[in-house]
Amino acid sequence: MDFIIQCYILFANNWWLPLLLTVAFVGAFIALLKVVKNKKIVKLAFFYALMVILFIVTLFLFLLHNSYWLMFIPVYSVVLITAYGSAKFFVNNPKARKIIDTAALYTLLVHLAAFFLFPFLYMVFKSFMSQSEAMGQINPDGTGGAVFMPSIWHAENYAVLFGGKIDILTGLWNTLCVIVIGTVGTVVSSCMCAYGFARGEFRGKGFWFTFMMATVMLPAMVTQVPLYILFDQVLHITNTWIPLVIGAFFGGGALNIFLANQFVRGISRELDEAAKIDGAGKMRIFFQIILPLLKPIMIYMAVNCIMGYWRDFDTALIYIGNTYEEWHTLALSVYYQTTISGGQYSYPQYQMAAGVIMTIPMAIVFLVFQRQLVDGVSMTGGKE
Amino acid sequence: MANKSILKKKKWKEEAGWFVFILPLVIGLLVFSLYPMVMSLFYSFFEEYDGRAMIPAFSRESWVFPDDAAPYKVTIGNFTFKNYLSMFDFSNPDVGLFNGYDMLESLGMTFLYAFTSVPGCLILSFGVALLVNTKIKGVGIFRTLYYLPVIIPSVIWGLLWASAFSNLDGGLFNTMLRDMGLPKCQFFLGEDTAFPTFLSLNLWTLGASMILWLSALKNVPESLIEAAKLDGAGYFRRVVTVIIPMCSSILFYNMITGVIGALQMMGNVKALVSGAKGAEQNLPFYALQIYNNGFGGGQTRGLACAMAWVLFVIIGLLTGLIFKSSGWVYYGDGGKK
Repeated sequence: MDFIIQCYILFANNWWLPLLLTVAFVGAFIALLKVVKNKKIVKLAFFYALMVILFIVTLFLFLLHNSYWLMFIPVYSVVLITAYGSAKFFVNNPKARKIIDTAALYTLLVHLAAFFLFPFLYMVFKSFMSQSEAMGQINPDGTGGAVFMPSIWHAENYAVLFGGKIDILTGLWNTLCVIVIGTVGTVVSSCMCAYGFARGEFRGKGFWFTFMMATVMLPAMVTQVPLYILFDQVLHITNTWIPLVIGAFFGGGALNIFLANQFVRGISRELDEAAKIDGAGKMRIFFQIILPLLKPIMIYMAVNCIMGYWRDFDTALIYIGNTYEEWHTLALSVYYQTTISGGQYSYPQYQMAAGVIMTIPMAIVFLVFQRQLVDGVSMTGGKE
Repeated sequence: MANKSILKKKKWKEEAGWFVFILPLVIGLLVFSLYPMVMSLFYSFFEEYDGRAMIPAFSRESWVFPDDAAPYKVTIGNFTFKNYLSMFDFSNPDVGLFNGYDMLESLGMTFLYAFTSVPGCLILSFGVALLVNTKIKGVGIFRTLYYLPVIIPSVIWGLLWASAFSNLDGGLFNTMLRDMGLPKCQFFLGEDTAFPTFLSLNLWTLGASMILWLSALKNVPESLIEAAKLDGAGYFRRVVTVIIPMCSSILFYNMITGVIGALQMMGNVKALVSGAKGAEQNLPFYALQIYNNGFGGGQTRGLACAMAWVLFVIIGLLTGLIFKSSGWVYYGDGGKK
């Protein structure tokens, strides 16, 4: 018993040890595969080694008192791995082997999904808990503690957010304002600049473009203090959300311009020429001909922008103070109302309820625009 | 002669017309990038600058707004290197201010974090991306599920993990440990456990890099993979010799931006330490130190600027070094960049 606890303490204090062991295990497997001719034997040997390790883990957990439910994990993995290993070992029919592989892939995907769903489910379940359950209260006899699922579902936690102890409506409204203003500003101004760079011919074009791309490497924290002082002492717009959106109207980010620039270059120049012959000015060509054609890239920029503004916390924290509730964005109002005023772990259930409200719209946006986001990333990274 | 000058005038007008398009950008670059950058360097040479005047060296009482009680009096004589010197001062370990020891600790942790989390995430998420890059039914649902934790806003993210990894008996993981009969763990509040716990949170955000890999994998031509298959290359061989080199440019780009982003990470930590009170000294991330010095209410804005500049210089050197050693990156048919 002591030995097990000693082992646990050893692993807990040296976090790199299990990592090292895993790497060594996998490394030995790959090395032996390269060296030994008979690959099937090596695979079998390591398969059994894995079994033995899992068996030891099971034994450990069995020896530890009152942990029967946790034994489920190693036993379960032993069953799964054995099933897969023996199926692959005994079945020779290629079609059947393929079906086994697909089944194994699905099993793996489902288990990974369970892992990745954990924080989300934790958040959702916690948002429905009562105060004592969310705090994980320990009973006098030592039982109790944290639970994963609420025993009674308290839907009224959500009602509290709208005008009860906590008010997130102001924050929601402010965030919506920031999103609408900021997104429109970013999209229009970066498309405009991109058009200027792609089609225009003027002195200093190369210089400004290089300058713009250089700012990508400029860490935001270098400019933070002087920007704050500029907004505070000259423009007097701190403690409002205006500093969050003001940058959107002045270029809207170098990467956005770069992306849109690539896109405009792909549009045939003949369209411009034709419009020019018809007597349209530059601005008119841009707004009536080019801008509608930029729709795909505009959607990508807008989605990124909306998600960025919706989850932004750092910038809002810098510019908007605690006492200016009427200007708080959503993230900020949740932060200030549930952490600062209440003290440690004050209202975990309300925090998580606000988290659910903040996450669901973004999940929907991601679901709808998943394809555009994946395509857009390849435009950013691939062709620089 | 007259004709020429008219032509010239017309050309000038044409150029000005184009310049209007990038005018917002030009103003933005000058006002929101160049000016703050220069001023940041300037402010970093003033020790007790509190940000009440635009130009600390020339501030007079009349510049100060009436509701501010104590005007900040600095003259050109207060121009000092003290902010920088204090960062490299190893003579006194505990002076209460940000000194050389704090700087080493903070920078060391931040860099360790950046150089373990970013490559680690890219490697692990590559495995995940390969799994969901197959064309089996329902794979889109799995992609969305894997991406779901990334969508959780950073403020909630910090509070969520602060409560799951709470050091109290009522924390989720401590309850699990208790049920297993093991001693409880301090997690974010333990000196040795804070960093690995924080690092492990990255496992749940693998979805972000998974998306990057997916779009990179999309760009690998099918014909190349088929050709490798015909040559008798197994699955792992194809991954190592065909797919990874073809993705190297996107990998390279994301490694650089990822490291730079990780060095500046603040929001997550800020929310986390406000949930797990006392974890701040175990997770002294550099950006958080800058925030605390710059916006904590003290007269240390100059120090914050100096700290930012030190990091800026380090990032610049690092980026240069990475670009120098980027011979392995494949940029498509056009050859090297």
